Amino acid sequence: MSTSSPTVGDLAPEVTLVDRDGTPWRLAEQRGHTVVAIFHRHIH
Amino acid sequence: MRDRIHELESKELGSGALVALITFTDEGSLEAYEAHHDLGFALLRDPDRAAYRAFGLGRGSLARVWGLRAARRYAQLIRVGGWRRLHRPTEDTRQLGGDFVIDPAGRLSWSYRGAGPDDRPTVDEIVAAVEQANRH
Repeated sequence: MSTSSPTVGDLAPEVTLVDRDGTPWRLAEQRGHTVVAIFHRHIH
Repeated sequence: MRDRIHELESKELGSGALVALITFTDEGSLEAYEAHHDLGFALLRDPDRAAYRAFGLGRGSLARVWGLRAARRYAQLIRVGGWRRLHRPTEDTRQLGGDFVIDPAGRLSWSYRGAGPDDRPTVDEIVAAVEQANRH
């Protein structure tokens, strides 16, 4: 596990994901909403 | 996992709460997964697992991921359906999952990093964390 793991109270990491259309989804752009981020293990 | 997600879908999370399901699978597998499970949440890909690393999600040990519990599960599967039901995984089975709640200000307000394959929080724990974040 990373030694720089964010802890409660830290700003969430600025990560960019992609949706099924390939459109970027930036966590930082979701400010104003509570976000639940559920990281799956493998699905296949 | 699927049941947990569907249970979460049925919960009232408060206005404006977003749920993002994140996976590192390939595009084709994601489409199939989405079509099969008919989920109402945003389904997102992190193909190089940069977000997993950024949130501190590592890989489990071989012993933890492929331990006695997994062996029992495979034995049960073999008894029920035979070897034909088994197929070689195409993804990193040692990648661990996790659940996080980020408040409207962008701060991590709750986190749960799985220590093993089945180590995930309950839906009620997630809902409680969302309610707390919504109050901020």
